[in-house]
Amino acid sequence: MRQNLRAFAASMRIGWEIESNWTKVPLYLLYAAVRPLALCLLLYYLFKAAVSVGAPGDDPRFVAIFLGNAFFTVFVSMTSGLSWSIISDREHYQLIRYVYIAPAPFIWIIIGRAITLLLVALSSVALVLLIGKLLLAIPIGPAQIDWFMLLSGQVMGLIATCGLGIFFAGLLLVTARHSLLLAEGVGGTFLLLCGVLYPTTYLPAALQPLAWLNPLTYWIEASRRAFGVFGFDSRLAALPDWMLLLVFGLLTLMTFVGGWKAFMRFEMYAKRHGKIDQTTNY
Amino acid sequence: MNTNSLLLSLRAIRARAYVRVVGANRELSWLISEAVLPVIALAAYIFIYRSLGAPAKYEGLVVIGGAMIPFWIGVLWSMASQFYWEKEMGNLDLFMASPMHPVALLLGMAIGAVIMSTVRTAMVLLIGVVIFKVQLATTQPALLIIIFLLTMTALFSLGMAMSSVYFMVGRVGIKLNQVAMEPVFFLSGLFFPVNKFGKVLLTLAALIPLTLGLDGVRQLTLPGGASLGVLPPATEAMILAVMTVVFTVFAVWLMGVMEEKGKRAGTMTLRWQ
Repeated sequence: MRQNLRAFAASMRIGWEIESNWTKVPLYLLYAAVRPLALCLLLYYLFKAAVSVGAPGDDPRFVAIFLGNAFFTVFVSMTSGLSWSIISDREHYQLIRYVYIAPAPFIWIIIGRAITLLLVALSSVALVLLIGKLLLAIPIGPAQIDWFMLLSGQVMGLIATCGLGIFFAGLLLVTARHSLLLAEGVGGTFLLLCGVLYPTTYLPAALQPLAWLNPLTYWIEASRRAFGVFGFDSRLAALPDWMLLLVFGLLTLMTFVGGWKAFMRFEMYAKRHGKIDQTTNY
Repeated sequence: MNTNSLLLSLRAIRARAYVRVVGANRELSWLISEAVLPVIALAAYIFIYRSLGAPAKYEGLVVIGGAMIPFWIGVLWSMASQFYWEKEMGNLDLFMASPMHPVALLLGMAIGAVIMSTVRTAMVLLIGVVIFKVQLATTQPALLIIIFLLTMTALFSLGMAMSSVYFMVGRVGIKLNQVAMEPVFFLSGLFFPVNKFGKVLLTLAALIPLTLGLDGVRQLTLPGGASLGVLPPATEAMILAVMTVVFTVFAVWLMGVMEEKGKRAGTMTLRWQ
């Protein structure tokens, strides 16, 4: 266990260096926040175009969209960052075989990288929320926050995100030539399905069950409730807080365990078929 | 330029475009997924407008914006960053040692990228019309074609200028590329009309050829699109023509400067920088 934790810590440090050592830390953190910030501004003007009455910050629907987008950033950064780290280690730097034969389970190394990405993404969320409050006049502040909902929601959300991240990282180990599409496409698909930008009831009927079986849908709803935004999604609004957290907890557990097990299977398959250090598309 | 150099440049352009087009079509499943992925994002933005009760013309606006995404992605990833990948794989040294001008290589890349992006754009438009029932109509097809072509030439000239950065830098350039995606989506108004911007933001946005090109194309293809525009399409065409000339001259000049600097600093062939 001690060895695993050392590998985990080393992986976090390497992940941080790979991500950030091309510039200074404050500039890197700003760089990491530029994408989510640009998306928030895009949504601000989109809302202004669609609803021409009043300031977007005064409309609870915009606050819900803004919060959904801010927290969803964590998932996108994590899955796409983790996928890219597999692709770059395997195909670009071609050092994955050396990482793989290190005396620690590969999954601990992957989780170490994932945690680094999560921490960077959380710093972006904090910056986005701050800018939302200061520039876009969004009524969010410590007084409105339900800390229990925020902390429990974020802990479960981050675990679910990690589960999905390691699932897709595992899938990339056995995927040839579609790695880049997988890395970039997952975020868009989940954005469509999780009620981040609109209530899940606006999805086509066939897709709605996918939204309700997805832990990220409940994470976004819990994040909104933590900031005092209720009723954006009429179907989810029917769930009291305790039931929302219960369903969210169960789905998170299933996602994390499923992601972990799937990764192990993908890893075994990749090892048996000689795919661990394959170069496919670079 | 004498006849021999012209022929050499034309052959280089054809060769580079050929590789790009054939390479992209060798894995046909890429074509499907690369057309489907923008549609997923596009669907999300259409659902937002629907949930906010916006008029149907905004859905058309999103489809046209989504159809232009492949071109911006082409500029960023098939033009601007291509020298980075070539440098990392060791091809850039070979290109620079060959008798062709680097601009010919970039023109080949641009032509290949435009062909690839056009196929994807056509698929996005088809899906937009068939699935989302978006209505498109134009009364001025000639002006529409002119605006579209000028947008492409201005955009790819910009991409050419951006690519020369890789003679000097490595990962920093890639990070700048990555960071130029969403801010440009925002500034060019891919999913909303830019007439909602204030004067300062609009001036800044207008420096990106995609902004004016998209605005002009929307005005000329969407029923009621004129109400979404910032300038008359003919004026936008003139500005885009000026941009094409300025960006092309700038790109060729910058290419020469950066090539020289890269050679002197020894960064032109430096891998994993």
